[in-house]
Amino acid sequence: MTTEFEPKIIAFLCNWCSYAGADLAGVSRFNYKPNIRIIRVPCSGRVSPMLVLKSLAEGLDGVLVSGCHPGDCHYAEGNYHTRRRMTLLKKLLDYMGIDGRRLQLSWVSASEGKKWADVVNEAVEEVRKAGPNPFSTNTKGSSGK
Amino acid sequence: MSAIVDELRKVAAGLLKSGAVKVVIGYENEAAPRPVFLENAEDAEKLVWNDRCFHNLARYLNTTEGKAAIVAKGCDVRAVAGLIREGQVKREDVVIIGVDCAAQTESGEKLGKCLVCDCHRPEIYDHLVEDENALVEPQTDPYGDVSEIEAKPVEERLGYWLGLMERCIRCYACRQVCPLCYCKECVAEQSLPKWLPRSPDGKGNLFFHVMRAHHLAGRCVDCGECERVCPVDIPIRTINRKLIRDISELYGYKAGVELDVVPPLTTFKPDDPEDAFR
Ligand code: SF4
Ligand code: SF4
Ligand code: SF4
Repeated sequence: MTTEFEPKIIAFLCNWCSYAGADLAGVSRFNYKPNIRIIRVPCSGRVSPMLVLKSLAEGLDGVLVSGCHPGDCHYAEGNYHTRRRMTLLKKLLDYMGIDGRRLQLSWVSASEGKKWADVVNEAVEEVRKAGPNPFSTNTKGSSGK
Repeated sequence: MSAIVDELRKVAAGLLKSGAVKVVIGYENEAAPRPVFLENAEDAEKLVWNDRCFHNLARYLNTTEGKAAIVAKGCDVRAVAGLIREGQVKREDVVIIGVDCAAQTESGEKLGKCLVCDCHRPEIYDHLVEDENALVEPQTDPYGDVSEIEAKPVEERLGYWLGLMERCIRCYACRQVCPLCYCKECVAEQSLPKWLPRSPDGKGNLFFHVMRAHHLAGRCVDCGECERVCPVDIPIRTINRKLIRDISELYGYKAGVELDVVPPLTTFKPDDPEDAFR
């Protein structure tokens, strides 16, 4: 009877690296889990903590933020700021009882189609372990019902 | 009248008489000290100092005309330093009258922040009112309560915080009193876009507090005013100090101690820790 919980994850990808990496994964026909909904942003540094908090408050099970590798930011240093900001936010969320695994973070370059597929698969499993968002108004989660 | 109060009044009167400042922000009313704004040297007699001078007067720095002198404890001075660092006040527009402070007490008990205080003597000042007896060592592990919460499983942490958050009535006193919460419009009250649930329920309040603490990351000086004014006794410092400790461990930074160090969330190092990233 029990269907496995399928987390719903929102992914913010930087235009220059991670979005292109996801595109490459598609072109290369790498399979990955269908649990994510992608939003393209100019830079991972554009991802305000408020976007993360709103996503979680609205009931999404996880948030993935992905940008260029450190040193490769199109805007030179945006991702360095992302790194500090998101590291602290993840720890704070966890401390406040909102499982830190709900905030997934990665560096994926435009040439890393395979890594993108792996990142998504791993992120989905981590968020699955964290379970349904306790603040979701849809008590059935997004298990396909 | 103690030598300390005497000295304080002398400094204040001098600054007002010479015209060095337009206003002195200090405390009045011995029995229950409250903020006072003095513009005449003769009024310096009103100033008091004791262990119930709770208010962090840095909150008022931007509310007066002209140069101001401020009576400040060690923790208050850190907030003044934060405001200078963030360009809210010019260093040359404020005269800091630092006062050595042993502790502030409520019904005979030292405040939590004072038990772990490491700034009984202010680090930055223009005038110092000294009190050798105030220079006591910190008493307890400054992060004991934070470690205790960290040791719980995550579901228990959620229960713990939600239990407290359900009490929050979203009066925003914690925000209003904070010297570093000076935004003209707070995201907590924005409606276009509405970033956070605005109703005062457990969930909305929890997200409000994550947001509030994160916006103060690397800026909160642990003056404890937010916690002191909370009408329903939410241990807000325990949230703030999680970040204070993480920031000190990850980035080696402490807010308000030095004027020429860049706050941690406006800068970075190429080799910052990145265990959180794949
Ligand atoms: S934290 Fe230190 S300086 Fe501030 S009130 Fe307490 S003892 Fe005084
Ligand atoms: S958050 Fe609280 S403890 Fe920190 S600076 Fe503001 S009022 Fe002081
Ligand atoms: S002061 Fe207390 S009750 Fe008021 S908004 Fe802050 S936490 Fe909530």
